[in-house]
Amino acid sequence: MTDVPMFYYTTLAALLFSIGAVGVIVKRNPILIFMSIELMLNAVNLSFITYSRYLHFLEGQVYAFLLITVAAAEVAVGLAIIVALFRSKREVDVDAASLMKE
Amino acid sequence: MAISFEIVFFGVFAGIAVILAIMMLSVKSPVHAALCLVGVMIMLAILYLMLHAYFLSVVQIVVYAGAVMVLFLFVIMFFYSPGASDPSRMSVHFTHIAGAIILAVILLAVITGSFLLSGNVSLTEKPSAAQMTDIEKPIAETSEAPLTEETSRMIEKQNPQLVGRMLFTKYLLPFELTSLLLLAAMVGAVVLARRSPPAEAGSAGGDGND
Amino acid sequence: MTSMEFSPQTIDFTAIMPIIIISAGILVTLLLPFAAKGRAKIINPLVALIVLLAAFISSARIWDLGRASFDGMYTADNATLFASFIFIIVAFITVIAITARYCPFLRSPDGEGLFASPEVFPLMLTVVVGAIVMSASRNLILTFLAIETLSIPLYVLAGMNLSSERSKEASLKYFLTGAFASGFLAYGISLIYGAVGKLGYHAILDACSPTAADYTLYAGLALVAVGFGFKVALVPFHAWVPDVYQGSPALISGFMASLVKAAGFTAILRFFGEGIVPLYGIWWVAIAIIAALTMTVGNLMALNQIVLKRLLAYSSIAHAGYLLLAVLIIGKEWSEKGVTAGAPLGDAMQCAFFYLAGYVFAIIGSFAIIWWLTPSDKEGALLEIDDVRGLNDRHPLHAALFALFLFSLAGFPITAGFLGKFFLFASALSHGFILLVVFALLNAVLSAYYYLKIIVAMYMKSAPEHASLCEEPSPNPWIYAVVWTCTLATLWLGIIPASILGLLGSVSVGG
Repeated sequence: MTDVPMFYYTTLAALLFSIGAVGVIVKRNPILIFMSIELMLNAVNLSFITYSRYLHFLEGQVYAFLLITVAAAEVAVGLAIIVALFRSKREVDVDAASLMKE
Repeated sequence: MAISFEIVFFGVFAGIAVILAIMMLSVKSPVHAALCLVGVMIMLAILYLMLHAYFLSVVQIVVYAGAVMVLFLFVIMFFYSPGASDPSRMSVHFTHIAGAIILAVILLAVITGSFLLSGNVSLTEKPSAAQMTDIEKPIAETSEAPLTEETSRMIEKQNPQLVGRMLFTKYLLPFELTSLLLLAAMVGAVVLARRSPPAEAGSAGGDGND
Repeated sequence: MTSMEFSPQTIDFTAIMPIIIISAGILVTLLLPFAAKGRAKIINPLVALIVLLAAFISSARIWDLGRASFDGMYTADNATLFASFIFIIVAFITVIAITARYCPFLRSPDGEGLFASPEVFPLMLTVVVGAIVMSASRNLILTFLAIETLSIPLYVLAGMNLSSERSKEASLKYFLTGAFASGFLAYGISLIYGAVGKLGYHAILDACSPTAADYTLYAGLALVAVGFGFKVALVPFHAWVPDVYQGSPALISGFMASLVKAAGFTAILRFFGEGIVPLYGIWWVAIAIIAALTMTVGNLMALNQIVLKRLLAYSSIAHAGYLLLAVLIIGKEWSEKGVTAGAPLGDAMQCAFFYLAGYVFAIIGSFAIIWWLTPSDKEGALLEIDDVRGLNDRHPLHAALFALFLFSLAGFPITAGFLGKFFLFASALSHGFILLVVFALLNAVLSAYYYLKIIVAMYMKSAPEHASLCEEPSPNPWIYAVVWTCTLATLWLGIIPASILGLLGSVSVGG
C-alpha cells in the first residue's frame, strides 16, 4: 500500500523528539524551551499517525487530534505565564528566574 | 525494490524537517527559530497527507502552524525587537550541551533500537483479534476490527467523517474532557495576563479584587 | 464499520455523574462573579462547596455498584470512589480556607486579598475533575487528558499570587517541567499504541507477555514511567518540587502536595496493577531502586532545610517513596494471582489508600498552619524554622496542632501517619520486600529528626526578637474549621482505623 517502510517514519519521529528534548535542556530562554516542547509534541503526533496508518486503526488519528488540543491549551497557559513573569524584567531567561536558588 | 516517488518525497520532506528542527536550536534570533518551527510543522502536515491523515493535516496547518505559532511570534515580538539576537544564548553552559547530547543519544538509541529489535514482533503485524478481549470486544466488532485493504481505501476517502464519528462516539468522554481543558486554559490565561505588575499595582491601590 | 450505532442510552450517566456535577459547577462559579456584586460574591465559594457536596453524595450513591461507562474506559469502582472522596474532601477544605483568607469581607482587616480573583474556584474544580477522571480511567489516552486537565489549572493556581515574583517563578518552573513530562508521557503512549494497537488497560494487559519481548512496548512503558515520575515527583525527576511548593501560595502548595500526589498514585496503581502487571518481573527492580532513592534523597535533602515550605516539599518527596512500596506489593500480589475483575483489591490497595488518607490530612493541615502563621501583609514572606521558635508561648493552640500534623507525617503512634506506615511496611514485609522495608524504616527514623527539629523549636526554644510571624493570627472561624477537620481526621484515622479499613475492605476492582 505504501512504499515507505514504517521504520522511516517512526525514526523520523524519534529524531524530532530527541532534537526537541535537547532543545529543552540546552536553551535558557523559556520561549525557546517551550518551542522545543512543541516540537516534541509534534513528533508524538507523527508517531501516532504513522502507527494509525500502518496498523490500520483510525484511532491513532483521534489520539493525535486530542493531543493537538492539549498542546493548544498548554500554549495558551504557558505563554500567559511567560508574559506575566517577564514583562517586569528586561531579559527573558530561566536563569533570571532564580529567586529560590539555595 | 526500485526507489519510488513516495520514498523520494519522504526523504525530501523528512530531511527538510530535521534540518529545520536543528536550525531551530542553532539560529540566534528567536523569531527565526519560530519560523523554523513553522517550517517543521508544515513539513509534518505534508507527511500526514502522505499517511492519508487528511483531516489532521489540515488541523496541523490551521491550529499549529497558524494559531499556535502566531501566538508564539506575538509573544516573541512582545519581548524582542525583530531581528534581535537572543542574549541569553551566550550563557549556555558546556555541561548543558554535553548532557543534552548524551540524553539525545540515549533516547535515540533506546527508541530506534527498540524499533529494530521488536521489528517483526509488532510493527508489521496487525494486532490479532485475540488481543482484543473482555471489555473491548463489543467495540471491536463495530469499529476496530483490522481493516481489509478495500475498507481501508474507503476509509481514506472519508477520513474527516470517520475521525469525527469516532470522536463523538467512542471517544466522547476524552473529547468532552478536552473542552474542559480548553476552558480552564482560557480562564487561566486571562487570569495570568490580566493584572498589572506589582510595582504599578502598588501605586494603583491595594485592593486586588474586582 | 461505518454503521456503528451510538446513542446516549449506552452511556451510564450515574457513573460519570460526579464529574458532570462538578463540570456544571465550573461553569456556574465562572459566570456568577459577573452577576454578583459586593458582599454577594460570597455566593461563589458557597456554590463551589455545594457542588463538591453534591459530587460527594453522587459518588457515595454508586458505592459498591461497580459502574462503568464508555465501554469500560471510565470505571467508577470503589477504588475510584474512595479516591474521589479524598479529592473532594481536600478540595472542600482548600476552598473553605481560601475563602476565609481571601474573601474581602471574611478576611481580617489587615489582610490583602492578593490572589482573591474569583477564578480560583472554577480552576480548583477543574483540578478535581481531572483527578477523578485520572483515578477512574482505564485507557491511557484518557489518563493523559485527565493528567493535563489536572495540571493546566494548577500551573495557573501556582502563579495566582501575581504580586509575588516567587509565585510566578514557581508557575513557570512547574509549567516547563510539567509540559516536558507531558511530552515524554505522550511519546510513551504513542509507542505503546504502536506496539499494542490500542490503549485500553485490558488490551495492554493482554499484550504484555513476559516471554515474548516487545521492545517498542518496553520503550513506551519506560517513557510513560518517566512521565508519571515527573508528575508525582519521584527521584530523579523531583527537582522542580521544592521551588514550586516554596513559591506557590501555601494553600495551593498543600493542595498540590495532597491532591496531586493522591491522584497520581491512584493512576499509577491502576496502570501498573491493571495494565502492565505481567511484566512485573521486569519493572520491579527499577521501581524498587527508585523507591529507595526517592525516600533517601527526599529525607536527606529535608534535613538541612530552614524554610518550612521547602522542608515539607522534600518530605512530600520522601512520602512518595514510601508509597511506591504499594506499587511493588500490588505488582507482586497480582502477578502471582492474576487480575480478575471484581476481585478484592487486596492488601496493597488498602494500605496505599489508608496511607494516602492519613498523609493528605497531615500535609494539608501543615500547609494550612504555615499559611495561617504567615503575616498577611507580607504575602511572599517565607516562614523559617527560626520564626516558629517559642511558638508554644505565643500561640499554644497553633503549636499543638502543627506538632500533631508533624507527628503524623513522621509516623508517631496515635496518629494516622503511624498506622499508615505500619500497615504499608507490614504488608511489604509479608510480601518479601525485607531489604526495602529495612531501608524505609531507617528513612522514617531519619525523617523524625527534621520533624522533631521543628517541634523542639516550637516548644523548647525561646522566641526570637524579629520573627516574621503573624503577631495575631486571625481568629477566623473558617480557618479553625479547616484545621480542626484535619486534626480530627488525623486522630480518627490513627485511633479508630477500623471504620476506614472496613470501608476499604470492600474496595474491589470493578468490572
